[in-house]
Order: sequence, then structure tokens, then C-alpha cells
Amino acid sequence: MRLAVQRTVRGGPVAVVLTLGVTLGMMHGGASRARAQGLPARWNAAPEIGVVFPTTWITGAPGPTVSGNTGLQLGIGVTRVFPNAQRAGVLARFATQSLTVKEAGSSRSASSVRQLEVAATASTPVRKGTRLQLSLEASAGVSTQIGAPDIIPFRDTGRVMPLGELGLALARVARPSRRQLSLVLRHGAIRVGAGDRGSIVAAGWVQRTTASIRITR
Amino acid sequence: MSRQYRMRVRRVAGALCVGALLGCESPTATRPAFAYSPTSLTGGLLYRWPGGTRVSVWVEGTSNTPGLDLSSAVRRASAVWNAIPDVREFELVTASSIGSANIIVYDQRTATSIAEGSCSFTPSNAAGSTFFCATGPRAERLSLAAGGASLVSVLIRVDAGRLATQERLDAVVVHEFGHAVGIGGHSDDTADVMFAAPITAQPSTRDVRTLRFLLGAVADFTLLP
Repeated sequence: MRLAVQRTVRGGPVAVVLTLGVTLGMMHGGASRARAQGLPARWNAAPEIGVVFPTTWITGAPGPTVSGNTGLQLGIGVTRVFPNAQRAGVLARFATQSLTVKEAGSSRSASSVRQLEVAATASTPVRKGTRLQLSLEASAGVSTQIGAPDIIPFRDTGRVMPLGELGLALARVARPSRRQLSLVLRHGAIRVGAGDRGSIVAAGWVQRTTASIRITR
Repeated sequence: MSRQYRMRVRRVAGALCVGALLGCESPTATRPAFAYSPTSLTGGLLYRWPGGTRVSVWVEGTSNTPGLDLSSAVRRASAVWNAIPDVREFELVTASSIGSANIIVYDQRTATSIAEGSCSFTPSNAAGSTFFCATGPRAERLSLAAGGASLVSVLIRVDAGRLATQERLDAVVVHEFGHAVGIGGHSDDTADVMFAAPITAQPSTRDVRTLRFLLGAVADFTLLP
């Protein structure tokens, strides 16, 4: 099984998705064994659901301001737990936002954009009480934008954008055999490149805040 | 490495990350200045469709001029102008019937079934003319000549008989659609599609700049009836 995983990782982006499925299965098995022994699992799969708060994708200067409204976000993270409770892993997310265009005193809705993201994550505990634990998280990866083909910046710039995030996770301290519920607040930035020749878009970083509930198995 | 030292490193790294995030410059969109006046033919009045309007276009009748296809010229004009808006300020689409049309295009040799409304349409002896009537903040809704309401506010008349080739017809139709989407002026540069006697069917960067400017400006009246 391990050999098969290594081969698929070398295979490219499609193979990575397949690998994730295989790895999840392996980790689920490992977690179950660890839970049966009463020990913390070395690997965790952590699905999450949450919201993306309103995001300004383009600021008119003067020109159209394109904003994303509050949207839904789904994700799954795969993390390895180290002895000092630090974690590192990979997070895959899907988010969707409807768009609003504002200009010259008027506002209207315009299409929607979906985001597929993959990021490497790392977290470390910063406070641990008897019932709650606070962790600091950082992630870096890429965000792929789908949809809104006739709305800037999505029309004029590259569809794959780098992203970086910092987050705080507040978790209930649970017994190793229990699922852990966390509230995760993240704030990050997505790089929007300059538009093609003739485009009115100038490059910059889009700031985005998200809130999620995460279940760590 | 002592615990205290590790904590200090974490704090400094965290502060740097937060500072980098908050200090990020947002992406911006800046509308260009116009390359030529978009209101030189309208007495300084700027007009356009309200943002996000799907503008339905209907070609009335068929051109009687052999070798010239008015419908294909209209499809081409719609495509070239649709490529310019940055936030879908308008979208030219083919109407399913005359009753759902906002713009009617017709050949001078084919009588239109739209009445001209309270303004009189007296086109000059030109290969193409664009007509609308605005007596307030919105263009007037033109009625059917036979009676009955319509959604039409813009008429484009083409004199295909005066145009020798499809390329010339394309250029004239693209030019008239430039007026129909808000350019109420003519360019004095022969390379622009909005030159008074157009010889190209492809909007230049000057045409694009002028349209992008006016799409973000506050209009004196809108074309949606």
C-alpha cells in the first residue's frame, strides 16, 4: 500500500486526489487502532464546514468594486500529530460566494465564483486549559477560481492564485477516544495577479476571513 | 532550545505574519479616461444601459441586397462589443421575438414595424443610423406601428444597398452598435470603429477605452424603457 501511494504522488495532480483517498483509508485504520489502544492517533482526518465572510475581490479606484458575499465552505484536512501536540498536514477546501458589483452609487448582483483550494497546514498549541485548548494555525497553498468568466478579476487574471492564511482554533479538550470539535477562525490573503494587456486590473492581495467547525477524528 | 526562547520565536513569527497579511495592498480596478468624447453627438448627455442588462436584439426582415447578410453582421457586432465590459455592464443577446426585443435592426429597404414615438426619426443620408428618444431619465418605449406595446427603445437602420461588401456592412453595423451601447460620439481617427465613416469592424484600444470610461460614469439617462 505504501509503495502504491508513493507512485501515485509522483503521477501528478490527478493521482494526488487518488492518493488522498487511499491515505485517508490508511489513516482511518490507524486512528481506529490507536483509539482501541487508548492512545492519540498519529494521523487525523478532520472534515470541516463553515462560512466565508464577505470578501472584496477588486476595489474601484475609481472603477467597479467586486465583492463576494457570505458563502459556504466545506473542507477536509489530513494532519499528522507530533508528540508535543503540534500538527502538520494538508487541507482541501471548496468554497462558493455570490458576487456583488458596486459602482457609481449603484449595486447589483453578478454571477458567483467557486474556489477549490489545497494548502499545507501547520498548527501549534498556544494555550491549554482543562476544558479548552487554543492553537495557532498557518497554511499556504493555491486557490483555483471557477466561474464568473465575464467579471474582473476572474476574467483577466490567472485562475490559480497563491494563498496564505493564519488561524486560531479553539477546541474542546476531549479524551483521545472521542472526536474533538473545534471552532477555527482564519484570516488570509489570496494573490490576484495583474490583468492581461489592456486590462483595468492591478495586482494585489485579497484579504479573506473564514470561520469553520472542524471535527477531528 | 529553551521553552522561553521557543515562545519568543513563535510570537515574533506570528507578529510578522499578521503584519504581512494586514499590510497587503488590495487589487484595484481603474477605469480609463475616454479617448474621444462619448457625448459629442448628444449635446453632452451621457447614456447607457443600466448595469447588468441583457439587451435583446432583433433583426427585422432580411436584407434584399444580394451577397450581404445583415443577421451575421449583427451577431458579429454583438460579439465584439460583448467582449469589452469588465463586470458584465451589458450583454447583447439575440431576441426570441420582436416582442422581447430592446434593439431593432433593419435594412432601409425593409419597412420597420416600430413607430418612432414622440421624437421624429429623420435619419440623414447615411449608411447607418441609430435612433432613440429620451424625454426623461429613461429612453422612451417605442410602440408597434400596428398598435401595441413593445420593449424596444433603440432602432438601428442600415442602408445595405449603399455598401458594396460584407466587410463594409460589418463595419457599419459594429459602428451603430457602438452608439447603441452608449458611445454618443464620433472619433476623428480612421483606425477607430467609431470614426464617422468606419472602415474597420474591430474596436480599437481607443474605442475600448471610451466605452469602458462611460460604462462606469453616471448616466444622464438610460436606454432601458
